[in-house]
Amino acid sequence: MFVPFVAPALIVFTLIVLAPTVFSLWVSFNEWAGAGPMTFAGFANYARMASDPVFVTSFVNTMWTLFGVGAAVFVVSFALTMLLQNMLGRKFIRLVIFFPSLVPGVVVGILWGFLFNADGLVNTVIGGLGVDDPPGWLSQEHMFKIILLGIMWLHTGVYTVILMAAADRIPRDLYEAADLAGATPWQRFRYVTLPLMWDVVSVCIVLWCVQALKIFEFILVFTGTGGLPDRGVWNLALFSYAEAFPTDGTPAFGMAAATGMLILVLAMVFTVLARWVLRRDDVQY
Amino acid sequence: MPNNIEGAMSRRGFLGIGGTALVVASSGAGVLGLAGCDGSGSGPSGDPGSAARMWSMWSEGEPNEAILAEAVKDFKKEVGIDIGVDWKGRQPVDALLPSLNTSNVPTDLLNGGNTEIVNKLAATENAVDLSDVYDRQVPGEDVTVAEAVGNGNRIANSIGFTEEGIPVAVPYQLSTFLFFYNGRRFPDLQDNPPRDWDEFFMMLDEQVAKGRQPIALDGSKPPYHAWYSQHLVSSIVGYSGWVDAHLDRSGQLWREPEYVEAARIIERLASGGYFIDGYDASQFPAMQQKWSNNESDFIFNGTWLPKEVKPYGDPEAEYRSFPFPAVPGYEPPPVFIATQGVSVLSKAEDVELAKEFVSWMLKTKYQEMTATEAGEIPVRVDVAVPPTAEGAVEQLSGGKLIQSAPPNQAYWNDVFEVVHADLVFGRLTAEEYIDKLATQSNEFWKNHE
Amino acid sequence: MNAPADTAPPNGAARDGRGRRSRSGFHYLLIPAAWALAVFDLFVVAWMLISSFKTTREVFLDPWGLPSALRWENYVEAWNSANIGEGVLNSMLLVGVSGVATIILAAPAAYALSRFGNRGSSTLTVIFVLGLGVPAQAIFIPLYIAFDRLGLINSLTSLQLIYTGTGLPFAVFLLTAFFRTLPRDIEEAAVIDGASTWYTYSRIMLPLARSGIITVFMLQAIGHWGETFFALMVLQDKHTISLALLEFMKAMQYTGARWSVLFAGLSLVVLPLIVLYVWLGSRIVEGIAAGYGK
Repeated sequence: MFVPFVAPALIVFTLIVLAPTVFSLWVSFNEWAGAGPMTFAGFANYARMASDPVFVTSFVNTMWTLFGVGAAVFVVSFALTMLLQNMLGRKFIRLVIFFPSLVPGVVVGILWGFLFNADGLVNTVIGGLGVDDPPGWLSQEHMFKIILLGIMWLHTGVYTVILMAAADRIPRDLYEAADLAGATPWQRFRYVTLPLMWDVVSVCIVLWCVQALKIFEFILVFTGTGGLPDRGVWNLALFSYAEAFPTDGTPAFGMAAATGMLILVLAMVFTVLARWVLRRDDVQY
Repeated sequence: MPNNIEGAMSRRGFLGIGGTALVVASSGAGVLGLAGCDGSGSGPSGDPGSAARMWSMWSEGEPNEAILAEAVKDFKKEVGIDIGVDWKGRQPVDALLPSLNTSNVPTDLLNGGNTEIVNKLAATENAVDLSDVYDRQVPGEDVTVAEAVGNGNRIANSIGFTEEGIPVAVPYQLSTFLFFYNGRRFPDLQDNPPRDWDEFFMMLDEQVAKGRQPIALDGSKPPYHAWYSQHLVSSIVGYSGWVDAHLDRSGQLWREPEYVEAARIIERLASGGYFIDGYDASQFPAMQQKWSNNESDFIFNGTWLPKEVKPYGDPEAEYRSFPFPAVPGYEPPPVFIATQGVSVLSKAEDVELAKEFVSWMLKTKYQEMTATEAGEIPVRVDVAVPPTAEGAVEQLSGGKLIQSAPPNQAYWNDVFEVVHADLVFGRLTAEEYIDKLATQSNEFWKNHE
Repeated sequence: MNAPADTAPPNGAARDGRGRRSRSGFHYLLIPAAWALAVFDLFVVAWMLISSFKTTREVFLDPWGLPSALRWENYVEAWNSANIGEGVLNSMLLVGVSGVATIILAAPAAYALSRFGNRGSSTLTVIFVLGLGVPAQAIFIPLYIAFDRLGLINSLTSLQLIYTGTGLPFAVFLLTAFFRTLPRDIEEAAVIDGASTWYTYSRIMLPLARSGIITVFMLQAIGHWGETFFALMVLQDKHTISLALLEFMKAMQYTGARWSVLFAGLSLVVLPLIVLYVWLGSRIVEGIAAGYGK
């Protein structure tokens, strides 16, 4: 009975995901302009990565997204989860904080412009608070931070909803017991909530690793008018795209595929690493 | 049409994502060399019964599309030939290239930028020699095509010609770059535009003294600030000097004093408070929006600008223009232009039939519509230019015309635009900028041999 | 182990147990912050809606103000121009068909992987889950070639296939976890009664997994509604909603800025999702809770 249940999904999955991945792996060891023959290049594409400053920037930006935004998303999600456990309006807030996931990146890109332009709402507000020389948020040196803020805002809602759902499944009597023992809120979190949510948290972290590496559309549309944004804000996904569809018309499919493979490997490594670091004995309740 | 020039300068600056779709499609199809097979899906959407088909660079809804559509309608009525048009959007040649190797070329005529027709279609021998069309008369008018296009001085005769001098396109309109201003606020400027940067700086200083930030610039679009250096450098060392520096493998040519002199003018603009606040930290079109509402005085942009700002600008404004001033003591910069025209594909089903339409757009009626409705400059010199572009007239008739394009696209995107931003945004002095540019150019060419 | 549908008791019980605990100042700082975030989220949606009724000039000159009049014509224009209408219909078709196809494929697989203690099953589960990490960048070149050879470029069918295939890892992952949470005794009873495996699966287990399935469908729908990368790659003169919007933004540069119409178009994209979410939101949360829980 096993085979007929699994086979259809496995076939489609193999055709659409697995086989193309393997073919891309082959492409990544070649130089290929898209048309004409492939030239075997060994590890040349991979070797070029380290010496290409745009690649290095893209890599660093990807890591910032993965770890920096990741940490922020989880801290905020946890704080909200704890807070909303016993707060008026929790259902309403839980509903609303999911909205960002439903809004296309284009909207956020344009809105961010109105908010962070030199005389946008943000600078108007902090100017009103007495800051004389507010920063140019959309200048090249700050723009990536603003993008990170946008990415964080886009994702926090989903993880909060997931963590809240997990927290809701923790039996109430455990908290009552903790209260009777005189636990502080931090102790309740540390010794009751966190251990019991651990497997959800670890799944979320794995999902974040995967998701963070793939982020593409939001950065692409951030400039609001289409076209590729400033290179200072690229990540690996954008780099790969730009290699495959460059502005000067000579596609470097080998390099694009190699970058795709690197993203894949990073996803695998971080997934395994996260699983390993986060491994705990199952807590039964 | 806007963005032809700019598109040529940097596709990444302007190429919309829809345009990227075309690139995706075409590059991908190139992979296979069998894109012709998808004719079922992307074939001409014109009437199946059309006598000829045409791919156009215009998108539905823009004034240029309306003009061409009107011309096609009249052509059917008056000549009796029905042309089915596909509105492909910018870079129609890129979209067409993959299918050109096949026997199933989906169009007979192509309406697009003359640069891409010459460089991509003609270079691959896919465009028909139109010499005989140039000898014919513009349909129903007492002027030959060659006269309408060339002798009138509005554009050089070489546009639409290959290097061998074979005409492969008939251009019908052009755009160029100008400093724009609101004529209501500067009524005297039209007769007395600043001739060089000394005069211009005097004007700018007057405005600064009034507490204004006289120049608007959307720094978020790299080509918009790169145009400044393109014109300044070309004023001093000529266009060839500009190209040479871009292609100098050592990068050291940038260190010559002429290039430093050009950079000093930009340094002065950046450090002197001439640029509008936020030009280095905003999203397009925030700065041109401010300019269009009189929060700044001048903006350097393409002839499409007045049309672009119309929906949000000061409704009372009357936009006027003057050309980029010369560097004091040097010639005015050359006139950078982009032209659009019509060509016939070698694999057209009926080349002679298709040729009939090529010169149709030169009829006075459509030339006038180009000026009045699209706000662009008609190629025929006996047709008036739109008032917003009048600043270009003198230059167009006397100056040297150059089709605008980066000398090397990869170098432009990887090095020039990036380093140039540091200069324009005031993060580097002219000397520091030149030093960084020379060093990085050298690095770039080492990696790109 | 809780049954999946058995989520938290709402506020009442919880607050009785814990409500009177002394709260730190930290807490009082965070509550306004949480509300501020919620208000900001609402504000974004509201800003988009309000802007969609303005003129473009109003959007720029007074981005935070109210429109001088309700301009419904923006919506008419958005629907009619730039293929936004076609895009909405195509995207609905895509999301619907690929969502259902994903579930038809993933649900039995997930059931088998969670229940049949076959040697291959844990390896297979891992393979499916690893598929989560495969980015579009790693597969688009071969996919393009394959679809082109099949004559499926510029067809919605190829996008359906891609969305279905790339959606499978997540669907299998979540549904496997979900089936594991379902108690085994019902199945055991069914087996004793002589029911076939297929009958047990389709008539007993599948209905029990309803919230998991809705969750998968919804999350896929949200993900694919605005998908751009593959759509750009596959479609040429057809449009999904994201392509129509991007094309519209691009065309604005040639035809003059029409930001208010753009906002109307964006609202047409977002509102159906918000309605769907508000309607099905609690089920999704249940599904997530159960699916991620174990």
